[in-house]
Amino acid sequence: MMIVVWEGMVRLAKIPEFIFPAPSRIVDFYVKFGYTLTEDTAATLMETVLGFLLAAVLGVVFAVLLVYSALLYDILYPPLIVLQVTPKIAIAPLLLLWFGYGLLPKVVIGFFISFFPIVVTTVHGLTSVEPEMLDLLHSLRASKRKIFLKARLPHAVPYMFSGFQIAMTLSLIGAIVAEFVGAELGLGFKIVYSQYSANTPMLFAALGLLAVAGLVLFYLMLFLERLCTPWRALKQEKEFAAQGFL
Amino acid sequence: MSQRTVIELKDVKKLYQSKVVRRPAVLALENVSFEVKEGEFLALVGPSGCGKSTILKLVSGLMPPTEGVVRVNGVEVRGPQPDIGIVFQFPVLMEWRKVLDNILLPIEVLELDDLDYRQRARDLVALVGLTGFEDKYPLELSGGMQQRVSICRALIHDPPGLIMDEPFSALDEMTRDAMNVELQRILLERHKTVLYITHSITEAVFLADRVAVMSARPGRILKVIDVSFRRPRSLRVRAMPEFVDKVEEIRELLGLLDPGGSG
Repeated sequence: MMIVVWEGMVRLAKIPEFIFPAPSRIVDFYVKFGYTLTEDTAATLMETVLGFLLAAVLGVVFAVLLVYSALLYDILYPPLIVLQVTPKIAIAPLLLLWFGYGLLPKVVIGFFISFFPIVVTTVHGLTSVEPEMLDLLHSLRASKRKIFLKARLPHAVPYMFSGFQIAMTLSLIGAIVAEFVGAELGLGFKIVYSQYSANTPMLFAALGLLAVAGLVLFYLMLFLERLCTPWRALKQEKEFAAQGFL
Repeated sequence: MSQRTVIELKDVKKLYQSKVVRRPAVLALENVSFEVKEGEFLALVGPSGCGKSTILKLVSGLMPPTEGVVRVNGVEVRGPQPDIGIVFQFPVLMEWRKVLDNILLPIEVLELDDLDYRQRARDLVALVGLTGFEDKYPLELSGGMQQRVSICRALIHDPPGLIMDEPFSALDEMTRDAMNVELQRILLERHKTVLYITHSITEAVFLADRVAVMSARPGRILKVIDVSFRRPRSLRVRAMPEFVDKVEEIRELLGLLDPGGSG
């Protein structure tokens, strides 16, 4: 319905194509150039996912180190804050200078942007185990390792997923911005390119695919979360029921 | 009831001193002595801040006394005590584990043979009336049911003593009454030795063989009162004049009666 209105408005008002194209022109673009956009989408997705994975693995490890060593915490937390408050995208030109126009600088930016949220949420998860549970485990003479594996880590998983959701979104943004700065391939690159060539249908086409990519990543993360924490679905059902929705 | 002492505190004093921050030291317990004999139910009643949770930490070996001796089964407590099962005010179950796996947690930590205890865990589930819920997640259970699971968890490794810290205070009154009756039934069947901490005088007198009345901080034992109503006790015993007298006696000790008026 919206699409019909959109098409109608553009034709009647004779809006120039380079400002706001009609849906028919966008579809036309997809049909003619769809396959190149596939390459771009794949590239952007790969940058995003790789940047995210790097941040996820290193972030969780880093978080565990912070929790288990007060010394490391004092040493490493300040630079972490500095890293966070500095707009990472500002270093994109630098990274491009060092690493070129390919995959690597995008992954690095994705990593830098996603790292902090993952560390923060994971640390929170690891340190928010109920004191009574810790008392119980201590009274049973559990070693630090056992406490970590049986209590802290499983407790932290839902928190880690919150971090992952945020991180994935940020990694995508990072990849796009890096592509704006310099790239040969990718949805962000296509967006900038269409700006230079005033090919606005291509711009919209790329934006559309970008939105779809974002949604796919979001739902993928949601699916993984359900897989890893099946009991949370029950919690939400309970909360909805309590409010009278079920 | 035999004469063996399971839990003992003698002349215990606990002083909390903060080394890092400049804060005055807190004397939590002063000259506390009492014992819980095998199969006995001793309730500890006192106002807020009288040191009840300190006692829990001392008996379970999470903290040493500043002075005095804490003994479990005749042996001085020098470190964490798996011999004392603990039930907290909140169930504190692991959300990500099903009921049976929650109950088996002490077995895992103590590295005992899982297989032997699975059946025992199922028996405990039946004992507390939760048959059919073994494979449910804690979030699928009500508060009272979760607390029953945590009682099973405290009993799974068959510790000689049990310490219960206001286990039903987070529940509504009706559930709490039902749980009191349930607890009595469970303990009668298992002959457990229990140190029970509560703010509710009525609950203490209903459940206990003896009630130790504590003062406000620094906590001292004011008096230990015998409660000799026949078991099993129904909730109706609470209306009996002898019951009411005991409750009032304790209230008076705690200074809670009206200074003038009908008190």
